[in-house]
Amino acid sequence: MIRIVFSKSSFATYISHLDMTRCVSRLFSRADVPIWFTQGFNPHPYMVFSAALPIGITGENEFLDIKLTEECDFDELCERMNKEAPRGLEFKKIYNADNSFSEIVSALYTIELPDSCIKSFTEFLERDEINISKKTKKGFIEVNLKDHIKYEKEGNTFKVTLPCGTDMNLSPLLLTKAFLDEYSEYDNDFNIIRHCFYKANGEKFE
Amino acid sequence: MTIDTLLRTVQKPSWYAGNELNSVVKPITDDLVRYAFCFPDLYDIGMSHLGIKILYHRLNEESDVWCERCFMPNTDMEELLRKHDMPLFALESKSPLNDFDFIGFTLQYELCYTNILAMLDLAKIPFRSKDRKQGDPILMAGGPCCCNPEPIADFFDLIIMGEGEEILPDLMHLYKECGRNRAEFLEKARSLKGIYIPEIDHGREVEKIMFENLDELYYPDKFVVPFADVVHDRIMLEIMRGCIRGCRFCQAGMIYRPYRQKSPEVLIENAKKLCKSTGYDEISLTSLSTSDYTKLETLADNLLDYCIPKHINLSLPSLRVDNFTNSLLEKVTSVRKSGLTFACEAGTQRLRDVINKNVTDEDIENTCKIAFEGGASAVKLYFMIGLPTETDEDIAGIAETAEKIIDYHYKYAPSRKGSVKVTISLATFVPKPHTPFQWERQISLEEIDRKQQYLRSLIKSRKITLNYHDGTTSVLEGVFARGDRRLSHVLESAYRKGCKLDAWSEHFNFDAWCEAMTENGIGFDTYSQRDYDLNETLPWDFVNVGVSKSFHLRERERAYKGLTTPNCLEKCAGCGVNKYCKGDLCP
Repeated sequence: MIRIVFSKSSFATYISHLDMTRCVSRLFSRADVPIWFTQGFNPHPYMVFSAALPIGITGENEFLDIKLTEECDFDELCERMNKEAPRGLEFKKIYNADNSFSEIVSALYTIELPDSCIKSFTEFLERDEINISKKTKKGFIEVNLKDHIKYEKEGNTFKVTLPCGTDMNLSPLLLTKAFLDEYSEYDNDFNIIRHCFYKANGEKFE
Repeated sequence: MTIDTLLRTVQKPSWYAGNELNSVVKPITDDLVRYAFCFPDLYDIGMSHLGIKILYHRLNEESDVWCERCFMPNTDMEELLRKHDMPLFALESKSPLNDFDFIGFTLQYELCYTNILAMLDLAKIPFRSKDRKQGDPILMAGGPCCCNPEPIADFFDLIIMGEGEEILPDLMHLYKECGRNRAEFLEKARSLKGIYIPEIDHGREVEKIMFENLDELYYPDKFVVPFADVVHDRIMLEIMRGCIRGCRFCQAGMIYRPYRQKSPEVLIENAKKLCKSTGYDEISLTSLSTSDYTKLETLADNLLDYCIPKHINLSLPSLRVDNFTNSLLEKVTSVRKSGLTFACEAGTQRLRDVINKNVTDEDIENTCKIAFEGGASAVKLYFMIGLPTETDEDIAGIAETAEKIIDYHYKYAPSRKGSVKVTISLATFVPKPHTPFQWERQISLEEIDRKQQYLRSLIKSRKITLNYHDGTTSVLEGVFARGDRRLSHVLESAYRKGCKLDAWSEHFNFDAWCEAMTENGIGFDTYSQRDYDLNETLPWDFVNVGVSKSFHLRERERAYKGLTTPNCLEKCAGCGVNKYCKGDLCP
């Protein structure tokens, strides 16, 4: 498996996860990446992304696994892909990987806030319960975010760890939406960044 | 509120964020002419349109012109813009529309007209030409609806008739030569071929612009590739303009005459460049009638040689049933299997002769034979109701045609396994300007409803699916297609009552439209539900699309006699366009 590490920022944060597949597959075609196509009735390029990055969030170290049909120089490949990348999408590194995204259990985010709402947001986070309703394949479920969240405050910024695995995946947007629903006087001026993923043993996933 | 905050709040930020691959960003200088290309419908519709792709890149070829895009915002975005009192902005620079020198709308269908007003309103630009002054953007329109521009004429400063590729950059430079003076520019533009200035011109003949040699005409080597899912998201390769067929209801078949083909060599070059610059995995051949392209086999073979190793799909829409060959079918299905679509338009031979749709029952059988033997199992049929001289027998013929196709499947499908699915798409005839049926009455809402129900009652097989919309949008389209300047007031009233996104059934409010018409003293019998007198001056008579009124009259007569007219390749019918283009363009 070939692993590609990329970042998604500025205008590229508005590309949805579904649209990313199309966007990257076209990019591979323009950059002549010898990507392996699935066999069968409707062949398509084989691509596996790490957990979906919600719209509007910057990702610093996102992963994409692909297979190649011929050996390539990874640095040269990376350069070629960057030439074809839309503004905001940057390929950082390509390497051989032997682990799978199923090892990921959580992700680290920072949420940067405008000065005006820091106080309200801090109070909001310090509550015992932040109950939200989350849409899943089986319908809506009730979740107390406080059972799953770890956070630290650093100036205008909160460092937040949330589950990001196959069993449980909570988007930081659930938190900011719950806040904005209650405090409608604030606009959605949060700057959210996903920095990295962690495995169950607390190690960084790479 | 910043634009970023807006984007974080709306449902589909990628409809407004710009920054797509191949979108053009230029530095803003004093020298620059700024043009906002507006499509009066949502992003996913507008970004599917070929014209905007061609003109966007054509204008941006000019170093002193920056063309940007703007689409009708969806309701959530519109609410946010109003709530925060933010003006509608263009995608590339995010500048408000009223910062632009020009705002150009493309008018593809009548039901988008209220969106023009909504976009102007959101941009805080006065609706009517007479209310705009030096310093306001110059509002222009182009596209097929401009062959009768009268319903929207009062809103526009300048209207382009015909093909806009070269006149647009010329107009931009003329504007600079006039020192960006609005009045002087409009006065000078008036003398150019194809330009109509509604505020000054009433009834002055305007000739459409048309290019004789498509091989020499600009075609972009890149398209803006949207991130979001849009309706037509592929390389569109325009193989020809015009149509040889002369179906009597078809406006496109008349106004885009004469028939001009591009050479396969140029098309293959275009296709290769577009594949490289976009990374698309599908090429679609675009024209009014793909199978009438005389070198289709050569083109398809050469394209497939390039496409197959690269996993690129080739699709051939707009095929006709009368010249569909076995090897053509193989080409359509060689990369990926797709269903077959045929436009029969009418259910009996008699009515097909009336409308000059030269398709016979044998043609349908032959095509089905080839298709079913080749393994196809889904057939989509297009029909129309409300055509001139139509009786219930013709409607029954639609059901019979669909049933015959099921029989053909039994007869020709290689294996009995699997079933055939026939889908009938039923539209309502709307008489259109510049066609032999331009004088005809459109049937009423009640008649539409009765005919639809009648057809439904005749369909017994579960293998046949019948699809249609209720007739309200069709009768409104009928009003605007053949209307005049009085309709600008109806449009404004309807917009004030909340009408917008009328092409979307969830937004269409027919009662509000009826109110708006009544308030302005206009009924359906004013325009659509009456026969126009053959001697009356029609609102669009001043637009010269090259096809003469006497040809339409002749064709109308032949229609009522049930006589067909051979296509342009067989025999020239003397429509007038040959004389008009002063050459031997016609086949």
